[in-house]
Amino acid sequence: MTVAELSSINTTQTNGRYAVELQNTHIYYGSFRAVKDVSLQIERQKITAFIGPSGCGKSTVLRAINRMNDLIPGSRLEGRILFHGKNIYDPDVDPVEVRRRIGMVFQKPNPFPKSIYDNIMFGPRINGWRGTKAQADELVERALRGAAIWDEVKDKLHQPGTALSGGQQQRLCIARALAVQPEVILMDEPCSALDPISTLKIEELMLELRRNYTIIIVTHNMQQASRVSDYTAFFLMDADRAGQLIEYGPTEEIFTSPKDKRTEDYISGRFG
Amino acid sequence: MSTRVNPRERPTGYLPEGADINRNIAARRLRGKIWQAIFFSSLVIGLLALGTLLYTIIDDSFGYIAVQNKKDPEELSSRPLEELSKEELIEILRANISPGLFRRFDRDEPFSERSKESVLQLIEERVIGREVVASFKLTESLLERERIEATVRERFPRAKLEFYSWLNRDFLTRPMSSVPILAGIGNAVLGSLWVIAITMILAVPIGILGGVYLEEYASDTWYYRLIETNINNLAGVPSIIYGILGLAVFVRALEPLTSGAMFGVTDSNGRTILSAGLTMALLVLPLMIINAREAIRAVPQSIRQASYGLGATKWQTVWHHVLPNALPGILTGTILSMSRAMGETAPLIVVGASTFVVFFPDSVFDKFTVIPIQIFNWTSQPGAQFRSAAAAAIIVLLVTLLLLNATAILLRNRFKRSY
Amino acid sequence: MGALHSLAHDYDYLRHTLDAMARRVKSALHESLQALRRSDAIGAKHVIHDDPDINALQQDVEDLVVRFITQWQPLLRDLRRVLAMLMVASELERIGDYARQLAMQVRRAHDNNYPLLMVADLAELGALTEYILSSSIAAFLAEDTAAARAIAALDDQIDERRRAIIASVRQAALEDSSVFDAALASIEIARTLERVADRATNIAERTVYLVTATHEALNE
Repeated sequence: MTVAELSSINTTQTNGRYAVELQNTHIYYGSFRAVKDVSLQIERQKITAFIGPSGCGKSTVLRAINRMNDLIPGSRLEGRILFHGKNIYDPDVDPVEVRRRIGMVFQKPNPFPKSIYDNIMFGPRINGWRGTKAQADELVERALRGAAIWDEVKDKLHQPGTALSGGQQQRLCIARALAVQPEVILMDEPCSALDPISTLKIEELMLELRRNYTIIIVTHNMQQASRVSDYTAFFLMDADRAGQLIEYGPTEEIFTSPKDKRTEDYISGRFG
Repeated sequence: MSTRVNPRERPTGYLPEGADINRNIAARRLRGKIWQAIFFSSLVIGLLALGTLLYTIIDDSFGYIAVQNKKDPEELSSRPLEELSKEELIEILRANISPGLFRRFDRDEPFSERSKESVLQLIEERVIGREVVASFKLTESLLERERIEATVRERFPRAKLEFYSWLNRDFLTRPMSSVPILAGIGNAVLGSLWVIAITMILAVPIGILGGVYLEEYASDTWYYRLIETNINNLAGVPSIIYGILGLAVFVRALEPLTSGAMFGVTDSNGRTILSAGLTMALLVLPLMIINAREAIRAVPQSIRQASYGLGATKWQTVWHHVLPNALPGILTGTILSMSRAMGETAPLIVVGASTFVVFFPDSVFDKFTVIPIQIFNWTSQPGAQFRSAAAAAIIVLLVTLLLLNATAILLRNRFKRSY
Repeated sequence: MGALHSLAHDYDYLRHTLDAMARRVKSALHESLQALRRSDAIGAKHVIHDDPDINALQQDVEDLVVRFITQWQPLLRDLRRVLAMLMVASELERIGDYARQLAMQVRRAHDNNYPLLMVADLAELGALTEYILSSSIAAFLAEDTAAARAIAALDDQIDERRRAIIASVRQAALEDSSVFDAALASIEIARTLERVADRATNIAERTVYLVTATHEALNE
């Protein structure tokens, strides 16, 4: 069964507990092993935070989940990443389909230099969307409402998305990701370029989105991880500079009584 | 005053203290001032060179000319010639030239079929024979008017002195002529336009597509790196080499194609507009590719990632995001390539631009000349009057290039994006 | 800005928990004073039995403060506020303990059948103590420095009354050695009430620090 076949299945019918499962995943850039033997299960409709120092491979793991790493020449993955029980790295799976089902929000807000409306509609259009103008309007409104930015932009849908403030741009990017109806949203340090107020708005939005989507967020901001996430995975670079999963568990536990000394050292800022 | 401290006495050396600080700062500032003055003088030298160039050109392009008619129009008719009828004009012509010549004109094109203007032109050329006997530069015209008048009175008593701009509307539209004052760059302008058109039709699409392939599709392997290196080197090859290439390939080897023999054109050899355009296309192609690649590379990676992240394919990403965002840059580069091709002379001399073409080209298989060749030709002619024509042509060329570059700058600013 | 995900929201929750704890402590003190007035052993037993709840609430406040600091990294007044809450919780816990001790004295007196001395005065002292406690908590939660400073003035009255009670009790014990146990218990109760007032004044002091970031000793 391919992912394409799976995507026709209503998500409410597949009531497995995990949205994504990584099984003994190793990620290589050329001959360099960037990530070593990561196994973890991401719970459906929860927020999972990846934390760890720079270069610990957390972003690499995140990007592996929707095959964004494929865009980097020489990158390669061993092991399996299961989505609906299907390994998305199987040869019969098209990464384009994977990226539609598993959306992504990037570190720096990156709206297209087009109107807000076209920013939202780009995803549906390239994915073969068909519908009337009224349906398109509805789709745009829902996506923008979903990202809690509708009220701020409803009067300027045809102005360029790049004219918005940083926080609004990031929410526009989230809305853009919602428009192709993904199940999982990956967020790669979505707030690192934003001011504290915008950061809180995004965090609040994430808590809101958790009702319908599974969210995985990479963050350097430990407070953010403790504030928004349900589960936290801590990554660390080993002696070969390969990223490893050190500890994974409920956020409350990771932030109050981590089992691994390295986790405790990192969270308490005593690391390195 | 501080006491001098021997740096060797201190384990950590000596940092200026007290009055030494001021001395040290003053010395550093002075050094800065000297360099600033050197930079400024370089600028002044540059501006002087530019000023001299412009002065020479303008000095040559305008000024007094002494005009002398073989026969004054007043002697031919009491009324202005323009008001006469065609028949009256024909009579004047018949009366003033040899019967043999008159018959020859009639054979070329019967007078009954000629227009009034054509007859008038013949009268002006053959009967009135307006001739510039002396020309003067702008500076002397403005400053030494009396001396010029005296000289002209003495040497050409019949001549009339008038202020003349070598750059005028007729100059832009008339073809080349052996008489300086009748010479124009009309056919050279047209030749340049033809050549540029062919160059751009070929180089722009090939350059952009090649750039897209190298930037977006080619993997980082040794053969692509080899190709890249070669393209970069080709951009630095002297243009005359392209001329030699064009001569060997387009003029000689592909003569049946470039002369139009394949298409039934018989009166031509390979030295045609087509050959020139193909050669120029080769010349600007590396520039176009490099420029397209740079414009494509300037499209931020984040835009591509956003597109891929939404499930776009590579082609969708290139078509919807990379190309539209790179277009202003590509366009700017295209215009700059165009101005390069416009000013290029050497390869066209080799390919065989004709230096004396009096007719207007009307197909790509015609012989041709272009503005820089025309200028080159005129400057190598004896006589001050051709130099003036050359100066006027230089003004035309410079203004054209300036306009092209200004357009490029405008485009760049107009489409400057904030990602 | 939504209310669910913000520093203010988490602070409200913390404040709410602290308020619940304070109410619990106040009612424990009130009930033990009631027992004192009525010489009611059952009511006193109730207070002794309820104490673990107060401890649990103190732990809640502690956990919430730790979580609050982890998640929000508060600074300035926010930081002083949560730290003050931590201290206030610990003061309240001690006050809870005192209430329990009070109740135990009442029960012991009842069980051993000696009527306490100066009950009316002790009850009055207790009422004043209760007033100091509730107004210092109110001042803390409202971050009202004027009210907090006013509490300090009451401390002198407490001292005075305590001294008067102890003097009278001492006199009575000197005159009649059969009331010795009762006298000891009464003195102990007076001392305990004074300690409660001290703790309550500490809360008022915290309030001033939280607002002004300067330390002012209020009960000199």
